[in-house]
Amino acid sequence: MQEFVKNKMAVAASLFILLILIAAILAPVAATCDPSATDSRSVLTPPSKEHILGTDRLGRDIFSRTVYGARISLFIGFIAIGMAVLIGIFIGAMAGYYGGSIDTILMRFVDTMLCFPTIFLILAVISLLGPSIFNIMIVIGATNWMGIARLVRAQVLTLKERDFVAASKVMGAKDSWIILRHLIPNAIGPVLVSATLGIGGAILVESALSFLGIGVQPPTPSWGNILMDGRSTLGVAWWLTVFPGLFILFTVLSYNILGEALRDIAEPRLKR
Amino acid sequence: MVIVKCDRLKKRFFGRAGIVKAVDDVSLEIERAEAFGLVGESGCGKTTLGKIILGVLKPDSGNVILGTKKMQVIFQSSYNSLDPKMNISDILSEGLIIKGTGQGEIKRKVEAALDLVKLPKEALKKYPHQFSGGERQRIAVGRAVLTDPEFIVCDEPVSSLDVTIQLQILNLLKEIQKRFGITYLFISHDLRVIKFMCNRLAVMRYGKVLETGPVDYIYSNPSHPYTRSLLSSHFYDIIKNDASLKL
Ligand SMILES: Nc1ncnc2c1ncn2[C@@H]1O[C@H](COP(=O)(O)OP(=O)(O)OP(=O)(O)O)[C@@H](O)[C@H]1O
Ligand SMILES: [Mg+2]
Repeated sequence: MQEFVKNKMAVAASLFILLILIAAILAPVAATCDPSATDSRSVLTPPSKEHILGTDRLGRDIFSRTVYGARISLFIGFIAIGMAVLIGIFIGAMAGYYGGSIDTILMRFVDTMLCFPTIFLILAVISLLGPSIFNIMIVIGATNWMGIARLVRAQVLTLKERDFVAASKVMGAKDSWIILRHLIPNAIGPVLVSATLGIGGAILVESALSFLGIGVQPPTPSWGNILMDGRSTLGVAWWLTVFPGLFILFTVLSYNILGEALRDIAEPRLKR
Repeated sequence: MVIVKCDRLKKRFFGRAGIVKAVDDVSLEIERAEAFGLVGESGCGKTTLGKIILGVLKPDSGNVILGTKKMQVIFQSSYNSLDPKMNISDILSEGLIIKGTGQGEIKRKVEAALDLVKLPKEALKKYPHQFSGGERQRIAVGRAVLTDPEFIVCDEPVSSLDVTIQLQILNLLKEIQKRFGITYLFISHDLRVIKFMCNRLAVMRYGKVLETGPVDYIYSNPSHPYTRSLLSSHFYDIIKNDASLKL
């Protein structure tokens, strides 16, 4: 019974993710207005037929801005986590496959990175390099690969003892062949689960940075800076913060639910 | 002519229960085109010796002199020896791709190998878990012969199969040996299997080779007490099963 409910949740989460994804990709079609078109006659109007999520203090349509914001926020989330996956797989595979001092050095590096308070690291890097979409992706990617590296290393440690690896060596395979053709394909399952869970986190970090004004810079809309925009008028126009906030909440939640459902499938032993 | 010569090989492992001398001063010679048996109880170091000969493990001391570079291996567990994420086509062609063989030749050889191990062409698109243990072991045999090896280490290739399937695989291996003149190092703890497959054998215990000689000679005149005990525990089985194995 619980299983069923959980599956239903996962289905709902996937549908929501899909919906947002389609809206983001088709933003020019999905948006009802130009996201940066101002309109001095309809400033701070509450949700109506014309502006279903209302307008901000410049008269811009919140729904359209949210749809375009989804583009930026999801793009940053995907690319950042994609980067983290690549770095994590590379470091984890090297450490697990070669072992010895390579393993020791790489894993101490992972431990060090994990000790850093990530948000301060991000703040420091952004204030040094300046806020841009590119820098935000890099910095989120560079601070999120450690869990994946550990995961891949653990997988590789057991996989490399399997007989299909020995058979491959006997046939004259190079290390790169064994790692790319045998070890990574067999280790990728849990990595994808972890990446799905990571996307939610990455979207949150992007929103937080944009909210603090050191993320995506206006006029480019992202969920975080739409939220920040609404902050000053929170008392009179709740729709400016509530709607983008809900989008962030449900998107992050959906990725987490989907990730956990995938994990239950991939690793039934860990199921509660 | 000697194809494999092991010279005072030693290999230790540092396990939880202390140091294990998995291979302890082993010297032996395998002649070209023979089937050389290696028997001994579980944990005596047979797999370790096989892996050292294949170059997968480095010995602590001693060395292996090989008369060929064309080696292959067939392991006990086909579940472990076939990559679950590869389809049969990729598994079979792996050795040829590594060697840089051309597409056309790979296709031709894969089909020939499939024929040899009596699997249908439809098998190519499937994955290892879609086959029975016996079929998987035939795939492993196919992969091994595909690269035209001169020497194959068969590490208990039939131990995890039931008797009728064992016989199928053993006959297949025998046929292959006759056709291609391949040398086998045939590892087993089953004396019947060794008698069926091999012309010479070495008896191993605790990492050491106790005695080496022709199968018929050792089976009738075991010189070491351990060999005698191995034989006596199997004696009636051998008499009983010899007839059926020769079918
Ligand atoms: N990688 C390893 N690390 C530690 N100990 C090992 C390792 N590989 C083998 N050993 C130990 O070395 C000894 C010999 O192992 P090996 O696998 O060669 O035996 P075997 O004769 O092939 O046994 P079986 O008939 O069960 O296959 C055993 O005691 C085993 O526990
Ligand atoms: Mg063994």
